[in-house]
Amino acid sequence: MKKEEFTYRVEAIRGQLYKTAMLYLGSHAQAVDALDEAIYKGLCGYKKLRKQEFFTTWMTRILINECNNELRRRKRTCPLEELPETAVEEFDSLPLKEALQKLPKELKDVVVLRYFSGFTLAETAELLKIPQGTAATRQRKALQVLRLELGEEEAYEQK
Amino acid sequence: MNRNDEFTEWMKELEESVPEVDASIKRGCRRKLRKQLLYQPLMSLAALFAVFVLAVNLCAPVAKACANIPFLKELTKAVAFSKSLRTALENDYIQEVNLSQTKDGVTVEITSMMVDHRKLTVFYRVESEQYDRLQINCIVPDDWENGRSYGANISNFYNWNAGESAGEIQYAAIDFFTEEQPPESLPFHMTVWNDDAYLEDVQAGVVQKGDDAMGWDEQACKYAIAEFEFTLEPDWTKIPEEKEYKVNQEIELDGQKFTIRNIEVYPTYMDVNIEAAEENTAFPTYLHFYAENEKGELFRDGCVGGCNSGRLTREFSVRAESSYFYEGKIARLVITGAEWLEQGKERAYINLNTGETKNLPENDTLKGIRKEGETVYLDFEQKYMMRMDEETGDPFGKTFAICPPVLYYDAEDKIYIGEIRWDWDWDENGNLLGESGEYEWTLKEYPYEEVWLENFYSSSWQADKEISVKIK
Repeated sequence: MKKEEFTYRVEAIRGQLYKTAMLYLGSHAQAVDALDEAIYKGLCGYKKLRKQEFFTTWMTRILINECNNELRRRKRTCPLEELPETAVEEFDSLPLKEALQKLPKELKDVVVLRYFSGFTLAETAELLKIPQGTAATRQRKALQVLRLELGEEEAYEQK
Repeated sequence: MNRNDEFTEWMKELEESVPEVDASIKRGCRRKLRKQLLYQPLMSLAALFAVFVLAVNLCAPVAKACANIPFLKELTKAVAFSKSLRTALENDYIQEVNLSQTKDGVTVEITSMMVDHRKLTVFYRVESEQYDRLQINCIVPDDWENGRSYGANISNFYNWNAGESAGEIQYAAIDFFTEEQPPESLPFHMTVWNDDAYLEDVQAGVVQKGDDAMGWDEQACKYAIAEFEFTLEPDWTKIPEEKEYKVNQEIELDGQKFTIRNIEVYPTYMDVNIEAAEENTAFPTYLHFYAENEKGELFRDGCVGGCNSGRLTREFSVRAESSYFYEGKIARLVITGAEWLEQGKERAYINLNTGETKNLPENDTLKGIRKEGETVYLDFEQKYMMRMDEETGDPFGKTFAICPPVLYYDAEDKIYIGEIRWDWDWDENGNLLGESGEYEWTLKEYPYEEVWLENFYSSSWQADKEISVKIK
């Protein structure tokens, strides 16, 4: 892959990458920072990517690693409050944006990639390195907790 | 509004606010080039560094004898340059390793490591009967197939000379710019080059000494004798807890506002975490400071190893020598100066026909422009700056220069890599001589009238009086 192709491909998925970062971090400035960092790392490593058909998942994985780094850093300075998935009433009382941020991380990861970033269930499982069945269970739970009724159609619309 | 409507609204909102990535890609390209150039071995600098280390070694105090550390004497010599590493070694803070490989007449042995929070110092020695002069470079290759970067910046470059440095222990300092714990098993690659072959090419005019334009990969391939692939297994579980000092104090430096959040002290380094105010108009590309403990012991800024990841962000850390193994608590931070990169002065403009300049760094003056065909030579003078000498307490005791930047741009914003040669005189202790030095920029095959040089700093500031932050 040449640099021009890298640029072209990143341009094509920029919306998806930005949304993913934004939903992971909940802040525009931090999302742009994470995107910057992921693109920089992508630039350092694209020549070593052997299977170029996986470019999108590869870039997304770099981005997720960056977002997780930021979340770990944030956890040290000002820990985020997560609610347990059983806290139904608390979730109901929050706007969707806040409710998503308070989801347990393993549920949030799945729902962000699946419905907001538009990955298939198989891709989501691959990105998070979890079995597809686990991804499906977490997806169901996350939608239940957020009281979202989203099907395949909504997921693919984001692509 | 029900949840599904909220979802739809939010998705629309996110679509509308997607930022352009052009700027991200450009920022990424610049950073990558900067990093390549920063960590690419620059021959003349390496030679200077070798002299400097030698000078420090000769006058450094001898560490206390400690029979249970193998190679103690050699290790002590290797770390004499670094107060943090020297003190850590004196406190037995080291993990033994026994890895050795021989290839094509070169033997590399990794003897020990210092394992710290997101920092690893690897000690090694190189031996060869076949070669007289070698160059050694180390990297931690990223796991790109899994989209994983260790964020490792390595400070290392070793000029091996059979007559002088054969068998001496050297070290590579690896900083991991990631919040993630580095993995238990880590690849560590070393490339050994034939320096004689390189010098022959220099003499034959095939390459020029200190040729920045020759890329890292190109050099590595052309002069490589052997590549060594080690797997390091640092024991990250033996790292003690950091000592943290909460600060949360606001300070104003030269009109710019900052909040010092906290100080984290690790066995081999200290990080001061700072947040810049949103309204600031300049970013400190270098902050001159030191920390002082209750017993009056000083720990100065800077470190051996990569000190930043090359990003200018509102929240940032500056690094200093570690006070971890000292008894006294940190009592205060003293800021003595800074190099600022002011907003709007990120690039200096030069008209190559008229000599008009804008936004040149404060201490740099364009003395002349020479053209040979399409190649342009720019001659600069840089007035040296002064900083506090923490060893003697003299507030303006040390002279220093800032390495010129290496990137430049044309009117279309295309990036180029400049060639720079500098003419700075140093004494045997690594101190600059005189009040100023010169450097020459070469813009190879550059047919345009105008050029924009990337500024590493735009102005320098020295505090009139001590700016001290008490640590409670």
